[in-house]
Amino acid sequence: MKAGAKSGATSGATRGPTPPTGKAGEPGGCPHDQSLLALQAGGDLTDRQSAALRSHLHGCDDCRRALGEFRATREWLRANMTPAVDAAVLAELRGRVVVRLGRKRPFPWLLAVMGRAWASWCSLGWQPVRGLAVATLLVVGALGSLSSLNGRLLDGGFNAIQPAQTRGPAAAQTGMIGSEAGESEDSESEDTPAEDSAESEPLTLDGGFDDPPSAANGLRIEMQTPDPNVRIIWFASNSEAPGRGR
Amino acid sequence: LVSDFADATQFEAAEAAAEPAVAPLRAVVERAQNGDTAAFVELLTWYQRRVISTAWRILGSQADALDAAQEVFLRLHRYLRSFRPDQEFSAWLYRLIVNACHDIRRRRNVHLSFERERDRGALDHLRSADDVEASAVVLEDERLVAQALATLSEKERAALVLRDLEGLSTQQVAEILGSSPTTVRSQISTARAKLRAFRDRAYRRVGGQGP
Repeated sequence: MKAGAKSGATSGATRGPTPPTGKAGEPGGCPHDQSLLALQAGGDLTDRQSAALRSHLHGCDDCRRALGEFRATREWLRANMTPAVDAAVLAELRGRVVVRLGRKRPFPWLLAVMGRAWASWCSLGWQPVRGLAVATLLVVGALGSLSSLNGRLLDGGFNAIQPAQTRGPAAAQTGMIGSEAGESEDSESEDTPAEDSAESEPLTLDGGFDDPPSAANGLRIEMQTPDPNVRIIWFASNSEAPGRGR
Repeated sequence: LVSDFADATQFEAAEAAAEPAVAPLRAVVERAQNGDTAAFVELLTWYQRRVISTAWRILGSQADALDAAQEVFLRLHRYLRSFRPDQEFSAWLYRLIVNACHDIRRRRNVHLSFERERDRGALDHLRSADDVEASAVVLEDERLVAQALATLSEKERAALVLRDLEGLSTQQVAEILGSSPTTVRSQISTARAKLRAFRDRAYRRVGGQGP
């Protein structure tokens, strides 16, 4: 069965009636181009093609039967291809979109530059000089982004490393979709921890400590209790720090 | 953004409304282009169901469709400013859907997506045999349609979904897919022929009648 809609558009339709000897398009059946029948079933032929085909159909049982099957298949497809999209799915979609839109890209300008460089690279092929220049730009951009990200994480961004741990039940109940709480709920597997950490805003201490712990001397986990005035802060220090235990 | 999404009930009410007429749609798109979050939410509400449905039809799985729909709306948000007033919004949106589905498919290297494991087994069963026992297979039309669609190439499938299920014209489908109407007609013709052959074979094998 050939799908030559273009080639068969005029030749097949003008053939005269053929005796019904079998299944259209198969050995022993009408040799009429089946692609025209497939197109006719969906109303995709031009008026002229359609008229020519109709005149053929008058005298060809094979093709009439084949056209009926094409139409039935089309209806079969339409009747059984209606996905049920319930409210829960829609809600999930909205939640995902909001969470992702609420995020901030850490280095938008750098990503944009790298994106342009990559697009240029793809379009250049193997032109040596320009290719080398773009490759250099890509490498520098990648190194810059890594070092900046690294520096941000190590340079006092310690609170940002624990996005999920630091929020307790109350934070989840606040309905802050798209905010920090919303971001922490997004647990897509493709997201790297570094990306998450770079996009989260560091939490602040409500009191009790003189200065925020740094990355070099420990781990801090915060949990908000149902009472908005009470927050549990768990701090594990690597160094000996009297009075700053757990 | 947060407050615009806060009240879930507003979605149900807004969704109940039909797709907007051209003039209000243009106004909403324009507002969204100017950074009006509420307008973007309105677009999301209007088109969310259609986007998921179309993606599901193209990809064949709800999970993949959800991922694709998410990507579509993120791209919509990102690229809405590049939308020109002389373009048709729904066609533009369909292009985003097709591209997102293509990316999802490529990322996951999905060829046969429909209910993968279960259907693959059933399809093998149908293909493998002249076995009369196959007549014992319960014909589930939806599953058969899914299997039939899985036999199409990506482009054939996209063309068929847009033409026969979404009801777009051949010209519109060609514009969305970035090809010529002749190519689209050829893809549609091939796709319909494959579906017909699959359906014929499936029902003949089990000795039953089509719907």
